[in-house]
Amino acid sequence: MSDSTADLVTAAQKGDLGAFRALVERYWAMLVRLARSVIGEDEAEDAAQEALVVAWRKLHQLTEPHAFPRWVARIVLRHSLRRARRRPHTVPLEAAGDPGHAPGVESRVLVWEVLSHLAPRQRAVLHLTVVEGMADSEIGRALGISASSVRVHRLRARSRVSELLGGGKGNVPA
Amino acid sequence: MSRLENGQEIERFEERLREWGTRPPSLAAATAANRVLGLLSERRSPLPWLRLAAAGGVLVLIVIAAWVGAPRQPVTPVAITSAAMESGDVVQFWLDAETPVYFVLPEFGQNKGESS
Repeated sequence: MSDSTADLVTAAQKGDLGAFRALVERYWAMLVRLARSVIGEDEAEDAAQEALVVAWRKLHQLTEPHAFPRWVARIVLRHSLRRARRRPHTVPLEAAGDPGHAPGVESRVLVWEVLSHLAPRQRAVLHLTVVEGMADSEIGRALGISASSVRVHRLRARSRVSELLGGGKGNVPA
Repeated sequence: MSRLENGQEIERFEERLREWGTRPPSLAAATAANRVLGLLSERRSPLPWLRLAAAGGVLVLIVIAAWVGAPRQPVTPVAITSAAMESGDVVQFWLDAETPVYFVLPEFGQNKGESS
């Protein structure tokens, strides 16, 4: 069997579980990264697994097999966003020390403790921008929003991060 | 904090976010694939509560069928074993040795055609 993503997707669409297994193995790390930024470390892997079950059920709807990575990423993101909205949780910043008095971000402030204070969609936009290096239009497609909404979410996310790190509002580079 | 300092602070945060975000998952890809396939086969088989409900339904049907099909105590027709005239207007029937039935006959013509 050829190991191109499109071939694996085509085989999986015909019910080949082995092909689907190969797809899961290939994209697992990427999908967990996405889920982690939206929902945090503890639930990311569970959320990614659940989203992959959804992806298997909807696989017949995918008309362009080569678009599988973007398609499955979208499913994981949306599933994680739903989960994050159902069970919002915020990690108190005090748990990591007072960031306002810390010499820098490298201090005791942990990334998730800051991220957990952002709205789930803001976290997703920040992750897709910073970690995945995606363009605004791609992010918009993945999250089902416009590119200009992506920019607004990113600006708000950075503003909130700045606030949380002690810099106050309105001093954020776009 | 100035805009420049703030920008540097955010840059440093995003650098940490990049490191944090690109860490490999704790679950290996092969193990994750096994789990996902396990979830798929679980979802395919009927849910336990569905099986339980089906078993309950079958039980109810069996009980109903047993009740409907159970042999009934046959209703035996009452046989009058004997009858005797007790007096002029009382007839005594014996349904069995211990069950007498008295039948009182109205007087012939009583209350008939009499005006009040």
